[in-house]
Amino acid sequence: MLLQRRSLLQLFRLLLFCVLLFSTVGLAAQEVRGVVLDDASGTPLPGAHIQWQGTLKGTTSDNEGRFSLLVTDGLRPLLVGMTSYVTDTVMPQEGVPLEVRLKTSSKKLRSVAVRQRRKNTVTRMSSIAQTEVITVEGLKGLACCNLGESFENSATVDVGYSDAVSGSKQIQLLGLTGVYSQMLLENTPFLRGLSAPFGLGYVPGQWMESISVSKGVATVKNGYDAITGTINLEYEKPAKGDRFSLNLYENSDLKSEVTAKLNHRFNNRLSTGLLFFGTYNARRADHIGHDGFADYPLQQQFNVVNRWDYEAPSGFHSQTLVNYIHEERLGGDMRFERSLRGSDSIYGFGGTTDRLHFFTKNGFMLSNTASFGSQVSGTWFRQSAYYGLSDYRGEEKDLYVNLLVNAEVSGGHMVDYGLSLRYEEIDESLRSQPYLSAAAVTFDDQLSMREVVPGAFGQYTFRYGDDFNATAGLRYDYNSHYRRHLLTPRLHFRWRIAGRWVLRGSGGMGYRAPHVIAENFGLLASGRDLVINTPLQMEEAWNAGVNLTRKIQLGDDRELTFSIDYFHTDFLNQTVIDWDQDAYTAYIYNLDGRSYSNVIQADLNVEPFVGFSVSLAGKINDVRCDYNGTMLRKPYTSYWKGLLVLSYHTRFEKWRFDFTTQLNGPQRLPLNKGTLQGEAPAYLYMLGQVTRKFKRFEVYAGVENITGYVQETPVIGYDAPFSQAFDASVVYAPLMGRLFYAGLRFNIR
Amino acid sequence: MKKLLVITLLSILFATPAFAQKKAKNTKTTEISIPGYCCKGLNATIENTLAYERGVVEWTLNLEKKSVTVVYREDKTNPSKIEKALAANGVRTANEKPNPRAIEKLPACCQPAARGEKSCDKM
Repeated sequence: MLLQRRSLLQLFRLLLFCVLLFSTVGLAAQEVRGVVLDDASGTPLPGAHIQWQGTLKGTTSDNEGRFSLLVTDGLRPLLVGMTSYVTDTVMPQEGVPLEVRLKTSSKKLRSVAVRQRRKNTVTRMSSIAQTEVITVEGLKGLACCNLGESFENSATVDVGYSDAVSGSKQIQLLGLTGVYSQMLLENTPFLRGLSAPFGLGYVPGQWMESISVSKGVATVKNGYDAITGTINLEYEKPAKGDRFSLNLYENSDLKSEVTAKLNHRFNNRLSTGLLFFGTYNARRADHIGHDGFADYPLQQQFNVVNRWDYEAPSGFHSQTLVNYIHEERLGGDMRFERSLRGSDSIYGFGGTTDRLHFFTKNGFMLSNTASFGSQVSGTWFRQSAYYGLSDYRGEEKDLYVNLLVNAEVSGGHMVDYGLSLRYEEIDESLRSQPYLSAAAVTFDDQLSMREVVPGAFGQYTFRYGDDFNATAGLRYDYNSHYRRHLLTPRLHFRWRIAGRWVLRGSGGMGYRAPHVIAENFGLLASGRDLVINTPLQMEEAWNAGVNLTRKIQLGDDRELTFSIDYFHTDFLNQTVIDWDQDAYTAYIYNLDGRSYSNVIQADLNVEPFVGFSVSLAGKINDVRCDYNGTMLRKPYTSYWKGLLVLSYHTRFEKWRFDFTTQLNGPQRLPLNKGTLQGEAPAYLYMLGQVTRKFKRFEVYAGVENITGYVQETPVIGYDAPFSQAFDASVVYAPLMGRLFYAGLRFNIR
Repeated sequence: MKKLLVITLLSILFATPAFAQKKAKNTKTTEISIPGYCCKGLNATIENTLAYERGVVEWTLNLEKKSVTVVYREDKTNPSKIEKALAANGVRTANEKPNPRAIEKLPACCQPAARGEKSCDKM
């Protein structure tokens, strides 16, 4: 009898355990349990450390990767980490066992697990969207002086020059210029508006901890503007970073760069970091074209960040960052000097930029299952530039406040809602005189704007076990400048179909305000007349895409990942820059007809043996737009792209070899005054780097553009720069020949 | 000019003393006790320290004995230097106190012991 009662009790306990384990109703549990797995192989990871964020309480996983941890200070994010794996932050849920998949801290990773909340207190964010994460290890394999050079190992993002004199680079995502994607700095808006065009140069590669690139629309939390994708940058965190690190870089064109980082922890809660970057390139060269025009401008940049992090055991987390940049560029004719500004005999380009940016993010737990976060960010930006006789001046002030609440409802489902307000003031003035005999035209009214955008959003995340989750969100905003009510629906899902097959999808609307000159500086570097006859409306598009990912285990700790995706973007309105009606005018107008982009991309990542990884990718872009009634391909977008990245490191990473080959397909050229018309040919671009690590420092040396393929005539009509024949905006190939570089990294833990 | 630069750079890079050391004649063996060696999590930290330590020829990890056996070259290093190097990376040894900042980067299992708060058995 007693025995029976005991076994009944045991059965009851077992049942209770099962209920706890599988229940979708949030039962009160006093401990959090789970398992830590290798993301690649799915094998359990023993010895991983699990720690409540902001406390010293933690445990380690056992031989089967399992752990359990008492809930003492309420539910808060858990830090899960292990040597040679990327530390992850997960939000445990009551009664739901955690499955934490850790990624090896190798080069390029794809986040798969969607087991964590997106909140501003969580440092690392994996998402429901297909996300490509470029880690610090990946960045170390590239010369990677700034953000514009950080995507050379990525097939998703294409980087090109905006024109042949300013040296500024622009990215493309899904075959469309980067302005249609959203740039975030630690999940707060960054490099918007006027900062966007030169912005890639404002982010030093060595400051970054990781870059996450997600294709397709973003969730509704950060505004209505991410249409083709989101690029989120994470800077080094002062509590985690080394006390001091230094990077010195020099290339064969005598461009020098210095990056220094200082971190200090006052105690367990408060820490601060100081990041510094300076670049100086005091010599101009004319290796390509031999046209008397400098290949790249003289450039000086001073860039500094100070940040403060405070994290209390109660769950309160505060992060504040201030960034100041001053940059000067001088280019054009090799003989041009600053004092010759406005000269009508020697063509010059000059630009001065000052930018002050800050954000402050504060978050705390409202209860065991809800959290509140606030984001406030602001920018003051001033730029003055001239291209030959044309003068441009832009000033921007913006302030953005976003309040978010994240709450868990029953069964792990989640709601997020919040309010946002943006104030933005843009004063731009352009005095355009593309050639000497042209009458100067001023564009001020069309360009300047002041907008107040109040908004509200809500989203619901539905979860069915580990196999399916979906997020549906809606936001409403009012834009005072365009006097429009904007409704932004967005939908995402992730479905693990079977075993290691994962299907993801996303779709939604997006809007943005065009800043046509700042986003197309190439327009000024040309003898074309500029015609803007109609007021430009907001750009509007919908985007939808699917992704299928398959992982295959190869041996113990190696794997093969294959993924294929398709994204479609369709514009309801777009600011069209029409270069094709004639070679002497650029017409700018609102879209009349269709404009769309179809992109198919396939990626294969494999580690044939330990230490050696190969990634192979291919992409097809079909991007077309109606230009004055004719459907044409978007200029400067390659029809296809192939990428091969090889990386090998010896044991303990003493030696590291990185090699990248890009095959860029042909691209359509707009009607122009040069000899090359119609299509630019495909070309090969290769780069490689060797890194040797010592006890306290690392040295690296590498070559960019190994084949040395460059555009033969970067500046059309270089002999008559003040005539209509001049055009430096036709750029379809690298503008920098073979380039050698070497550098040194030093750090003190 | 460019070529010259490359040649110089490459020669600097490759002309570093051979680090793939062979067991030389004047080697010694020492066993370093690591009281905070509570779990496999510490393996990587120990190995990564020793791999970059001058004069260290080879090593064996003994988790059960909470120690590491190191073969080193007498003319280049000594046990005290090796212990200091481990301590700099957060590993508590019999004679050296670890760098507090480096402890934070250790796996959670090894942190209390590295701080000297607890021994491994009481975990």
